[in-house]
Amino acid sequence: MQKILTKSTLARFVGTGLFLSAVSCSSFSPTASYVDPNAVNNLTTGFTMTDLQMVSQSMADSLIASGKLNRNCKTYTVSKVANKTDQYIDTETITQSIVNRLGNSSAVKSTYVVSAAEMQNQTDELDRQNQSGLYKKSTTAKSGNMKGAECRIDGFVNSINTSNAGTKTEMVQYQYNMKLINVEAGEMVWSNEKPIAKMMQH
Amino acid sequence: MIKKILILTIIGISIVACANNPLRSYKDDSDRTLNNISANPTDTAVYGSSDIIYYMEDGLYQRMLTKYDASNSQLAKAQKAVDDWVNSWSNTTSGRISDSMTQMLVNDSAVDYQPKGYEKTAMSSYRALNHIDVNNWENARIEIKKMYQTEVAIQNYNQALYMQTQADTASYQSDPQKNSLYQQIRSKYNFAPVDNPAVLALKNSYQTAFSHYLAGFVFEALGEPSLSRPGYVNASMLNPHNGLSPKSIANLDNGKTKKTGYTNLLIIEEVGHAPQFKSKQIPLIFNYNSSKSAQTCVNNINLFFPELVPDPDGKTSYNYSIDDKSQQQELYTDYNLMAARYLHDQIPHMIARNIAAAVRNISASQASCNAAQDDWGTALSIAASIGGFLLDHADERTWVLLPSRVYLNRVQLPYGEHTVRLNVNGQEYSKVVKLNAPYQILDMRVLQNRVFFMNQQ
Repeated sequence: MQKILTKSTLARFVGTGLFLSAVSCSSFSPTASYVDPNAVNNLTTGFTMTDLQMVSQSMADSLIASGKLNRNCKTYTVSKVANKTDQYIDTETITQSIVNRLGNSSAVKSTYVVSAAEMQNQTDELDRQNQSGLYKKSTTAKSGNMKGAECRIDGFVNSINTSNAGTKTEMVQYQYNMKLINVEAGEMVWSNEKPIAKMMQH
Repeated sequence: MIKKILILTIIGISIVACANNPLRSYKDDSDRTLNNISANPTDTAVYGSSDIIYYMEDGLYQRMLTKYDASNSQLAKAQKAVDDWVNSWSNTTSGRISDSMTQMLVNDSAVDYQPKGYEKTAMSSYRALNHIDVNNWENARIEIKKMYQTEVAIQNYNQALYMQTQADTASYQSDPQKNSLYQQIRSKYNFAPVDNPAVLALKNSYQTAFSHYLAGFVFEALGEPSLSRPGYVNASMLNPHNGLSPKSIANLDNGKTKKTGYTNLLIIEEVGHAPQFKSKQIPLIFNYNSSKSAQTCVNNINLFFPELVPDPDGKTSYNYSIDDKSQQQELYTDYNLMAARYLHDQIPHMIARNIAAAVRNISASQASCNAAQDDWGTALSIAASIGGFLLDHADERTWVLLPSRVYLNRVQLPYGEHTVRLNVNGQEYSKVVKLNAPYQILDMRVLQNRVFFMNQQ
């Protein structure tokens, strides 16, 4: 036994043990990096940020180019875009993107007024200023002066999924619809649609 | 000879010294946990050591004891492993297939437990329920979002696994030894429990109607119909026989969700426990001719595959009433089928790893047979024995404290106190629930003849 356990033999045993332990108990450490937020995401057929930007910009630009918003609506609001797909799409981001595009365009003369979804924060702020007794009256925003929207913008996104097992392809077609409606008359002033089709081969 | 035995001993010790002992039978561990719960459900009824599977089991058990923060604390430890895995598969189909070399060298039990697809999504759902029970719907929203992001990662992983399986199957056809092993496995393993119409009717092994209905309910409660609708739509697609999901979509579309002074109460009834996994032995006999002598060696190679052991008490729902009015619940998710579908989808991958193990075993046995008369022959025989002992063992780890089946029911009741009465095998259990918000959840769990009520604090 003494003959076998020389220093070099022991070192080999310890080395073997350490190697096996390292191999058998090792784990993988991923790292993160920054990428271009505007880069096209073509890794999935799901509705991505790229699609979201595409539909909101396309529809807002189309509405501006029609000139119907300026001609028919002194004030307007944007209702939350409805999601009729089977995907968890946070459509509030689409809604906000449309609001930003219209609101920041120098070609739009109409004024955006708060939507139903934003009303709770608006009334909370008015109540805070008028009912808390903490503010100088001459500086508070008065209740009863809010402007109603002459027009509202409604939209929804829908999708159809198809797949072909033979060709191992999957296709998802999205359709985004948007309408401008006169609130008092209930008449449609303008409408448009934006289709997107995404295919993936596995 | 001593030197060689010492080398083999070090190999053995280094493998067993890992955090996950590959020789452990998780079926025995989970039996012990179930017996503890049946005998006396104390805080420490879950048997095991501090690893991922223990955190999952104990996390769910703490929830049954209505210790929601403790439950989420335990589940968060397991969630960390899931998050790391999801990040590697969220935007790619080329993430990690195997956790480490150990999985191929030894067996699945030797690496950290990676929760199955349906366990990953269930973890998010139960964490969401814990948040709701401490009235933190915003954190519940985060967990729900995590649930469907996890599903995308699992989909990418499954695609990569499918591609690997195709390549493995092609290699069996070109290699006579592998082909022989493949044919023997196909003829000796009973595939019926994982390959039947009920299992194949499932869309996949990770999306459940229960988790998606819960997602719809949470988003509805938070006033986000555009996210709530896909939850109900997915629940309806995953389990087309239910009436509750289409009704919830219609109510959402017609704006008939809330009524002043009334609570939308979602009642979750969970019965039994998820099926256990038991390692099943498949013996294959091989004859070898020594290249150095006229002798023939016979070696019995044992391959091991997991077999499902369902809970006999988890097959049916129990009747219950609210204020003495009998209720009708609908089956949303059957975790027995989810586990079977998981095995169905994983079997090709398990066959590949078993064939790799068998080929190693055959090589070692052939070498042992060739050199039977000398010192190394004996050592290699020992190596083959130890190797077979360690390699041939199916992973029995699975989240056993998940329910066997999940039933849902939804009622609209006026604010105030209401009495729920549940009848389990002739014995009545009751719970008074206080309703004071537009959306609330009551969760009832029947396990080992005990009833656990979980609701908002």
